[in-house]
Amino acid sequence: MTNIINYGISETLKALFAQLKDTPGLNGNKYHGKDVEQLSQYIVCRNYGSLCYELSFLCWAVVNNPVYPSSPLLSFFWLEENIQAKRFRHAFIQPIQTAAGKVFMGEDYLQLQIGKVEFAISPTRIGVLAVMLELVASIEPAQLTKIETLLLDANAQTIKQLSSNLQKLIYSYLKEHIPEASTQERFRAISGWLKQRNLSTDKLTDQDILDFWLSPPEQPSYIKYSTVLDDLLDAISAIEVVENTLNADYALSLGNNNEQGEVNADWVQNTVFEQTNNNADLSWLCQSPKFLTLAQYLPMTALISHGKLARQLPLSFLRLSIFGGWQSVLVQAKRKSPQGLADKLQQCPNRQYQDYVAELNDTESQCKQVQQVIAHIFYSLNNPLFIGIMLKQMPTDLQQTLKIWMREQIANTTESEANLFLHVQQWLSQHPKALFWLTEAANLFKNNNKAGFKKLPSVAELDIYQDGSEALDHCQELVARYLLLIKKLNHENAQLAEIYRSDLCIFSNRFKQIYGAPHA
Amino acid sequence: MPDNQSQMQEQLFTAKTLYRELHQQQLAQNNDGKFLLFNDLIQLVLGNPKVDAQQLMQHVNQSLVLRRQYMQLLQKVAFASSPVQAAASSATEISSRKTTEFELLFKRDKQFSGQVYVILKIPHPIEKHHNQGVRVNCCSEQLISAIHFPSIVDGKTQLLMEESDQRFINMFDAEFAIYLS
Amino acid sequence: MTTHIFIATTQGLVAIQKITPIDDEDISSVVSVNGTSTTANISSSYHNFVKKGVGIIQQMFGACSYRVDISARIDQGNSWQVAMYLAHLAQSKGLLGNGEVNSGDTVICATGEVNTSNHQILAVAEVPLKFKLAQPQLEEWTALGAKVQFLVPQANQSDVKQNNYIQLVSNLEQAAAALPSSTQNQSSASVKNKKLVSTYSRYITSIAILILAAIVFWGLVKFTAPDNSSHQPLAKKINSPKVESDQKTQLVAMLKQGKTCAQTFSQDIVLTNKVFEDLALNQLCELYLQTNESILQLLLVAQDAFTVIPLTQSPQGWQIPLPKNRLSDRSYFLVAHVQTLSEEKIEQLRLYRETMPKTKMLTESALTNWLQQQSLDFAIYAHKLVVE
Repeated sequence: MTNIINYGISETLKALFAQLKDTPGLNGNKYHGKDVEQLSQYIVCRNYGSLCYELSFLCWAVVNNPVYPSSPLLSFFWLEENIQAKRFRHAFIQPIQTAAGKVFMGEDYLQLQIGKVEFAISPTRIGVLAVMLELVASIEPAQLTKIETLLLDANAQTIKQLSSNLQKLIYSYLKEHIPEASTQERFRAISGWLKQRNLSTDKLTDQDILDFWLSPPEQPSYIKYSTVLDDLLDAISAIEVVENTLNADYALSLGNNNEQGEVNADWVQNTVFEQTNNNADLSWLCQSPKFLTLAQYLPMTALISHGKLARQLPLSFLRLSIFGGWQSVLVQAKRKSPQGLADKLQQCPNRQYQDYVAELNDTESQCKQVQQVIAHIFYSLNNPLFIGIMLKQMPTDLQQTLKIWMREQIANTTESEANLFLHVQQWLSQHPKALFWLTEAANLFKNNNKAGFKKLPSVAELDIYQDGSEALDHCQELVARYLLLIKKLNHENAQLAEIYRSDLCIFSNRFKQIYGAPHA
Repeated sequence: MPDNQSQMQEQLFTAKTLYRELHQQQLAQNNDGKFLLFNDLIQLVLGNPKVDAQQLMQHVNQSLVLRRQYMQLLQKVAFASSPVQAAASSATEISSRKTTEFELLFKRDKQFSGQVYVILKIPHPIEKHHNQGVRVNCCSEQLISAIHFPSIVDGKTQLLMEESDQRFINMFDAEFAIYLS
Repeated sequence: MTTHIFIATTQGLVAIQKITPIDDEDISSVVSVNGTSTTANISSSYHNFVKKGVGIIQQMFGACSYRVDISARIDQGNSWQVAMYLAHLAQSKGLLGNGEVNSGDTVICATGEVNTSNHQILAVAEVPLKFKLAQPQLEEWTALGAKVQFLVPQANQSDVKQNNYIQLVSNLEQAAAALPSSTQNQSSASVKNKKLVSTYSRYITSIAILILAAIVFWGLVKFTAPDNSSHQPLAKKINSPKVESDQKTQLVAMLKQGKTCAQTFSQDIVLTNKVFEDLALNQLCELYLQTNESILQLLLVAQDAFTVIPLTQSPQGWQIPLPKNRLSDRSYFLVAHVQTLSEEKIEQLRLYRETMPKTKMLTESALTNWLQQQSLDFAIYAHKLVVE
């Protein structure tokens, strides 16, 4: 009996994070997908120590605020929902002075002074801190009262004590819901297999991945093609990054184990998420504002997750979309009935490689369209950020003209944002193509009835649109470069359809082996 | 390979893998798998219309722990309350409840004797009562039953109910305490 | 003439089945579905449509709150308002049907919002769709022999093509004109029967005029108490609480023999002090009041509603219409006249009812006061139909 992989995260923890994105608040969803996504980074990288510390200081400020005579945490975080920057600032508009310390809202930070200890909290952090407190309260609701009792008139030492308590709470919860052993096991099996074949990142091919899936190692036994692809690519990129890091002399201390022999969690988070600009889950693009629908976002998920490796292994990602998808259908059918499964095994996947290519093309053009709509929003609110978007979508000759013109403007450093905008408008009036593009953008906005695009936002709300624009840019680039490679594949090695037919044979046979009825 | 190097690799691999699993789009989203966050309970108590109140209340009533949590939250956020009434006799039906903040009474429909108008009067309503309505929680040791009244207009709101509806019976049962949230 | 009022909606026609005054300051108006405790989301809008100072219904029809039963949910919009007004008007005239259309009935379907300040009817959306969905039913009712109209706001004129059903209305007065006038108020019968009854009434009237002279001369012997021979005003004599010696005034009930009214037997109801004995509704098929020939008109005045209806006379007697919903007790007065009250006078009586401070219970003395002011000879009988 093969050992079925115990995938790391418990269903409970998955459900918890899914609900963090969906849980309702006073207006729409309470927490923004971006903040939940950020918390998840801290959690999986075991890098929540500093977050607990920051949260403890914030709780002190709330608990000792005379505006909340009873149940301060409940009032601040749940009844009033002061969890956006603007509301957060307003909640601390009155300075607080107690025997234990003082709090006041500075221009950029909430400044705390407790005894000799000073601490600053940026209003931009309130979102992720609120999600963290929600996690704590959901794990153990009694914590709220404990925190309030502990922090009332408390000193800095007590705050640190709380931070330590919270870390322990999270640690033991994660121990229950993320057993380390299984991911270790998987990594060791894969890195062993890679070593055996003397494979490194640049040598890895589509065939290697298929070979691994067709004959996986004894333990653990891999069944799903999607897990094979994900694990192989994650392992190989982890190996490569560490090698690169350790090869650079100055980086010897980075990532190095601390006194307890543990890897530096900050380094892990930075390396996985921030350096490479990879991996991040961008499903918040489907929230509010709704830049993309889920159907438009999903085809890109794997490409976003694996970044440049997708361009190195284009066929594997075609296989992932079509045959990985088909395998999920078979797994679902297996759960329902043996007859249903037997029927499905005789059928073919309902999509072919060309269908996935079409979906990606559609997603790419959607990204472009939404970018144009965002440009309209910036333009309407007199924000010159629209220029960057417009530049990318203009024909080359116009791009050049505008770039040269902009360089001249930027050289004049006394230009304020407002003046720059005025000048840009003058430039626009001389270039009908650009004007036409803007008119098109205005019409697209008018016809867009998705959340966040029904009417113009206020200037204070523009941040998320800028974030969205950057994320869409990233997606668009990934997809465009991938599609270029597929085009090449189609041209050089034979038609995509032929490749599909050959793969269909291979995958069908293997599925029948895995899911078919045992022979007598 | 030095120890720390393989550890670093493992950590990176683990972080990537766990992150991906955490954000996997669940294809079959069934309600049974939903996690009840602290916020979900608080929104239920506050009568947030976006919450599936019926389903969640079922869940709450099946768990002593959740009922206790619900009661604790309710006692903190309730606008007004009417305690368990001392019954004059063994029969526990009462015809109305009155406090300084509200009055709850019922009148029978003259045509359909099995139907009753349940009237909630709040002389000094807050903004939420005008916009969202009022949630009336009836709480006993074993059960919490809650019902949502529409927005207050001219200091009152009402529901037309069946006399046999358990939620109606609980509202006028002296052994239930009432909390408005 | 039974008049059924329907609200035209984008899901089809919705019948207004019944309107009952609640008239309790504690209870807000409510729109419920098919008599169940399910209420429509338009209840709060309807309450505002009733409320004095905001709406029109309380001002026009008296009670501070009503319960309206409709045949299906309506949850948004205001285009039910014209139909609702018409239903209240019909109900006040005792005309409102329950949505089950029979031959000879009047059917009015309406869509339109009311400006409650100036009673103008405002345009609404989706008129073509509402008419299209209603049309097959309109044709069916016409074939059945009902008189059918579909009222549309004048402001929506361009949305519809003129046809036999559509009536454009720009204000409530015009809408009200769609209702049949109450002299045609008779129990559902064929056109032919109506004519016969009218003829019969005229015949009676002409005979009665001859008798009237004699009666005026000899006095209304039948209506005076036998032991009171002094010249007291007639009204006082009529209302003195004594055992009725007039054996010609009789209330006759036709009761079921078995489960249906296919076969019936008759029963005389005992009269004491102008009050007939209570009668159970569940076995009752028909009810008649028999009077002497001097009585030219019999009015039914409901005690617990605004109904004021002149009754029709048939060979068996004055036919008393029975309540359609037999779910609560009904109390009413029968007012017998030797002269016919004009339509205008009957309308005045209705208005008098509707402007009473406590319209819920009309007392005999209140009714007597009004009748006395008309300088008419009259007799009042009281009766109650009860639900077992």
